[in-house]
Amino acid sequence: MLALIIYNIMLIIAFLTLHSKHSPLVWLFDDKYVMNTGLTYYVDFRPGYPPLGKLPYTLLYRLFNNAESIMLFHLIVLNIILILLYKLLKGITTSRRAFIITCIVAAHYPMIWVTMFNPHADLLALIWLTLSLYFIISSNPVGAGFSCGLGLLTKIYGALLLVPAFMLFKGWERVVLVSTFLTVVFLASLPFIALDPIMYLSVYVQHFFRGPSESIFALLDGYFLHTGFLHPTYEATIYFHQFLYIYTPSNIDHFRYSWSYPQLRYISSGLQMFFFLLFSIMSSRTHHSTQTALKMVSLAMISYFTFSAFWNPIVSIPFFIFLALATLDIKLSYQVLILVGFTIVDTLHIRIWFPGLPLGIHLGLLTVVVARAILISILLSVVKA
Amino acid sequence: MKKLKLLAILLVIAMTLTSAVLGLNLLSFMTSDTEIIVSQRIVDINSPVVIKVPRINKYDRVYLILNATTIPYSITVNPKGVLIPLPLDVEGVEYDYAYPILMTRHFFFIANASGSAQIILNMQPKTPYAIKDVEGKTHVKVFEYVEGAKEYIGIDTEAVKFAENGYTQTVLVTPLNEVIQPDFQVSGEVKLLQGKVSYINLIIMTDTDWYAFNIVPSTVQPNITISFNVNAGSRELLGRTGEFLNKRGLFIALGIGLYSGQFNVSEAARAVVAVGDLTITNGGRSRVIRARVFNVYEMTYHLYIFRKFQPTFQHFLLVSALALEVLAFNYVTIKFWKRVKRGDGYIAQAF
Repeated sequence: MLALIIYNIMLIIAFLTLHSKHSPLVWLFDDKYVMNTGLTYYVDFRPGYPPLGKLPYTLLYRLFNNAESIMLFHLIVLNIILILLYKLLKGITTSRRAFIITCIVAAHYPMIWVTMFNPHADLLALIWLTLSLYFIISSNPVGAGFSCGLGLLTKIYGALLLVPAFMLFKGWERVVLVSTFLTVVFLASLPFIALDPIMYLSVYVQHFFRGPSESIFALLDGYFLHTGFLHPTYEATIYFHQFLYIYTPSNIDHFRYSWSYPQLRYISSGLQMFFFLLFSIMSSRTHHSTQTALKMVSLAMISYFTFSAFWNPIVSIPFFIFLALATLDIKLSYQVLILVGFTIVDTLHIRIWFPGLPLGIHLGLLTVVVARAILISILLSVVKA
Repeated sequence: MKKLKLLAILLVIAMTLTSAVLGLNLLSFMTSDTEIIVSQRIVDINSPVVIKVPRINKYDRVYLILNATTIPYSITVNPKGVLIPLPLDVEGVEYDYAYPILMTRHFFFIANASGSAQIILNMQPKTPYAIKDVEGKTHVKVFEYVEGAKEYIGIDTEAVKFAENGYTQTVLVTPLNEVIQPDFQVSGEVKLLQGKVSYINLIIMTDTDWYAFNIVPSTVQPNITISFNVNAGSRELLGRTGEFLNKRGLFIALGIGLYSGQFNVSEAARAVVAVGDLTITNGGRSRVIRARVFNVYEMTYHLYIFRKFQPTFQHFLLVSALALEVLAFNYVTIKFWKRVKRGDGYIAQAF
């Protein structure tokens, strides 16, 4: 508890020192647009995130319009994540190890950076991911379905845990899992489905047309840009399928991307699906320990992120948590080394987003992607089968 | 147990049917929710161009793309207020600028009433360059300027609103779409005719960066012709030299900057600039962008009418029915599960 208080104080001091330079408000350009034009989210305008991942920020933006309120919200979310993670870890490993791993996750630079400066849904999505894992290992299909549902309503990848959960549960547990998931998603989406279901569906569908970003597949395709490079906002006032009429695919725009080597997207998706399903199926056949089941579920999620054509430093936050959970059965010192290695690479990845690094964007991204690939290879060689 | 099972099956059938009807309704709307009109107009800058917008419903979106290089002098809607214009913002920045749509003019509206409307445009002359504001807001007029036997494109730019940094920047953009080779160079001449500029830069826009080279400083006096040549050895504003080589060059642009600090309160923040021919050499080939201004030209336009879904009573009824069915099904499954539950879960049992 004391460690958590000290950690909070340190984050607040860091934020107060730095926030004048990097305000999280700059990311809320769509809230500004919607507010200035009098449009309604999910009815007139499709933001990039589902309601639970977007509307808390909109509310804070409208009520306070300051960086402090967003930081405070993030701090509360971060504390919940760390407490949940610690409880989850304590149930399957020693208290000492649980504490050390939680501390490393708390010190993970992208986690700190997102908490202070980046109002995106990934942080909140972590609560549902951690809760889903907790309910999966507690054999609670209602809780797992509920958390996966809220996960989907926050960030789409939150629903992925439904697959390994489905594999782990049996018989009517599976029916309950899926029906709870659908009930939560449908009831929470009800106002938007009633007023304009096509606009609401567009929020989700648009993601399947996005191009690669900062991943090995992006680099192989010759795309070195950041996520969301100069993209018109007005198109969010029409449905996504209507947008396809007016915006020509281009290999310089991530949001309507034209692949130079289209086979790369199929290789990426194919590898994602294959390994995700493989580890999900393997999780259902682990009769040894909860830790092994959790490891397989985590490896399934790690596969999803690893082979995704889309990567950025924010995505590395859920990746990092699953990494910590997948390496619980190796020697603590090795686990710490692997986690620290990823922290260094992720920190470098954030750094290349900002000018001034001698590496530049091209070399910087290449360094990060190669270093991450090496670390993942090391991870796979040390994780026990 | 049997009754619960039967109820669950009935609810699954009901959910499937309701979803199917709902889905079919939405699909039938989506297959006919976009109307595209492509047409051409002969533009004479002395008379307005009228574009008819037929059959719009309230909240429909209207999107107009003009294959024109210059922003119209004015754009009005008849009847007034039927179409509400929306700002063309771009993610993360305030100006209406995005690479794929840079060379055409775009207007976006939301219908405020049902019926039909007319969009009335007073067009400017056509030039080989697309002209856009990328910082602040200016009012730009294009005209033909001839000096001796030489033709120039005349640009009269007046600041309407300075950006927070005190600048406006208007760019004249022409496509390049080539990988930049070591022999790359851009040469040409510009002239300040009236007023003051903070700078005129030659900008190379690649797929990852802008490289701006100052070709006219703020100290320039009117009526002096400035010739420039930018190549791989030139140093740009951030001190980089030749970094653009082997990158994909998308556009070449001339950026005209005005700075609020250069003008008195009573003085119009304005500059009149003449742009001559521009020669671009790359990969052993040269091409010349002639300084031509067309007062009469053919203009293609695309008018998109995007229908907006309007919920009907039947839609509300179907959604409400589905919500109740989903809720009831979940209740039944949980109840059933609790009854068959063995007291310990799968994983706990496995260990």
